[in-house]
Amino acid sequence: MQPPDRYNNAGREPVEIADALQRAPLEAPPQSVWPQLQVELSRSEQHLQARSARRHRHWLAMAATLLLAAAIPAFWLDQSSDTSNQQPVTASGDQPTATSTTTPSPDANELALLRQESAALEAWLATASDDTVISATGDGLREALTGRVQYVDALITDPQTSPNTQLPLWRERVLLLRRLASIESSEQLLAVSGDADDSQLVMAF
Amino acid sequence: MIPVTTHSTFAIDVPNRLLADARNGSMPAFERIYRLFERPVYTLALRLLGDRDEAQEILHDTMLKLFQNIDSYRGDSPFWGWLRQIAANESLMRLRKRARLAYVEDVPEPVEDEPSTLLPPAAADASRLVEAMQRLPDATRSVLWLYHAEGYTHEEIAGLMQRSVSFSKSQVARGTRRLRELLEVDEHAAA
Repeated sequence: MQPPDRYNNAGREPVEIADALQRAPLEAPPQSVWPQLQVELSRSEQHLQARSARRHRHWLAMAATLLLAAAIPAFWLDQSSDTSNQQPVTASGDQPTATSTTTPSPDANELALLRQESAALEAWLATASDDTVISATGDGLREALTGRVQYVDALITDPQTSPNTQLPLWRERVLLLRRLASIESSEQLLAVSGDADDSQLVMAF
Repeated sequence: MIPVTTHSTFAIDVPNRLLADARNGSMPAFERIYRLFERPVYTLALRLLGDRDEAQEILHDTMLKLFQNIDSYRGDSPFWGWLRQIAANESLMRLRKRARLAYVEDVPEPVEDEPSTLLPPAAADASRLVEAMQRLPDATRSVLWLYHAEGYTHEEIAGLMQRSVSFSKSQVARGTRRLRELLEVDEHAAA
């Protein structure tokens, strides 16, 4: 469909939306965040060095954290496996209508459910995350898992990734997010229990 | 590989030596990379979130994540594409947090075969265009910006936003139409 001719009155031309948006000037932040980043990067470097030096004393604490981390996913598995009451979802993620005549493939159903669970877990992590108290062990695991989630995200959005690998990638993403959720839950349990081991709990700021 | 386009505001070549220094933890190298990409990251976050304070937080979070994970950059796609991916993910994660658990798929509206991509002449005025964009719903504005300004495909946007391809297409159609209406109102008001 071509644009209405009324745009041409007064000698002015219509504008392609992509051109118009790309021509919009870059914005500058009200203030540079570099000074803050510099401090945090330095602190992070010191934190990594200190953690490395104490690592051998933390094996017991790590085992306890992992035990908790292993227990919490059961909760999530129970939650996520209880999908029998959910509405089926098509490959495009749309709810099927009464006039639908095709049945979505099992893979498409699973992919849609994985995407839903992924978004739910991410939203939960975003709201439940407490950055004021971070344990040394949990922080390391969280960093590692977050890095793996980013790696999986890059593969998912890579146009060269085969459609056949989307399902295993989304399974991996959900698995990683469940682990992150379990760590978050463990952190909160430790914080609530008032664990006084200051080698295990450090204030982030 | 990470999706890349040629017209992105992020499309800045970073010398290999600079990247190598950053991988070794050089603070001056970090700072130089920060200076190169400060505005593109902030602008992307601002366009997606529509809020200057949140965009500033995303700039901080993105850069911190970038520097802390720079070792995981594989080098098989442009560095700026990798950074843009982190910035987009951070911004969209913030949008999802804003919407809490409202992750259920929208019912897509029918998309025209060849929807018009033209806007009224008022769109040539960047301030009016940006103001009109601000009045679009978050998801619509984000999809429109990622598709038209950053050159992401519908498939890539679907992956980024954890939605379907049809969602992306319908948001682009809806957003373009709404933007046209808003700018036409501006045209009439100015006449």
